[in-house]
Amino acid sequence: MGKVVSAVATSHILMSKNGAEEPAARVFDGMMRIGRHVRESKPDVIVIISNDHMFNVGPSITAPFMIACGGHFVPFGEMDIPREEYRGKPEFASALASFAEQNGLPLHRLETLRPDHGTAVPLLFANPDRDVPIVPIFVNYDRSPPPSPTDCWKLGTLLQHFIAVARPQSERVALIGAGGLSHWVGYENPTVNEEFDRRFLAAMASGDLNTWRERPAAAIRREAGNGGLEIMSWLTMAAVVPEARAEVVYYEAMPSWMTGMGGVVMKWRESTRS
Amino acid sequence: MTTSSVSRVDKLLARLFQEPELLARLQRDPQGLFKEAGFSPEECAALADGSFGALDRIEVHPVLRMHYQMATKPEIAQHVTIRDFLPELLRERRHG
Repeated sequence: MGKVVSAVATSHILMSKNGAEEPAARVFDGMMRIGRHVRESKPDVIVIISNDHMFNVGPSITAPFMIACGGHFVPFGEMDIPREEYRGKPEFASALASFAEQNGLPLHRLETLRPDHGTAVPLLFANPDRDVPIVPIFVNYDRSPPPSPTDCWKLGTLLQHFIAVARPQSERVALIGAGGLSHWVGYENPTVNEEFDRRFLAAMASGDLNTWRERPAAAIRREAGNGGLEIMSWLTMAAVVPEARAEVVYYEAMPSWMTGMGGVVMKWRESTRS
Repeated sequence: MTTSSVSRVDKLLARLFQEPELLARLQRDPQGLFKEAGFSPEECAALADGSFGALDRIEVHPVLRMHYQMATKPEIAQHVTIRDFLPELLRERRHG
């Protein structure tokens, strides 16, 4: 069996510091600490659960979940993200896609992908030397209706089983859930729902996620915006490591970035670690 | 893969960052591009306005509204960038 050696979640965007220098510095410091945590766990592969923002996956694709099976990925490069290549791990990705299909949760295979900021920004922190292969998994929040938290929890449980039963014993897996927190993409007068964000972070920290995994996506969208749906990527990650609890590394409500920015690392109590 | 019906405006906006020549055409001659694409006067007016509210009224997908603003409003592109953080991120590399 493989082993999850680190599991983290973080917002996946950065914007101009202008006018928000101090909170931006705290966000950056938090993302840096999360990235170092991943690197220090010395993973053999990084599985990043995020979403595409229609740079690769157009509005006609309505598959709820996708997996990138390519051997290399050059970022799309929007937002001045360097177009420097990451290695993929096609054997892992294809095996996971087959495992998922056999277990009734098909993942649409993307044979090519130019990761946008949703994938590339967390990797700038977690994989700055681009020396660890990556496996991007996407939740399709742009479809209508989007996948539900229950669907995402099932995907995380499936990934947990895949790592446990189908991967080599010595394989070290890092997980990143990327996106959120509350934000409204493409709407006038976007706000940040700090109360929602802190409530979600508290649930991640306590491990009491039952109500979150059973919530309708529409309820999350109502409170946290269409971008707030991305917290389901965090829930997917959390489902892989249900015995772990989140330690909140950073949170800032960032009105000038039109989003709540947050990040956690998952911690295991020794008694729960096999 | 499953597909759904997509409006002609969304179809065009989804290609903006995939086809550099299309993006250049939009920035050079937006009304000519819209006319050629067969957009209605209402769609042309909403795109000329460019605000999220106007794009909402013609039911542009919310994510593509953001694409459109990034393509047509330089101040958005100047704000939605990781440029400020790149020097520190590059210093984090072990191999330079």
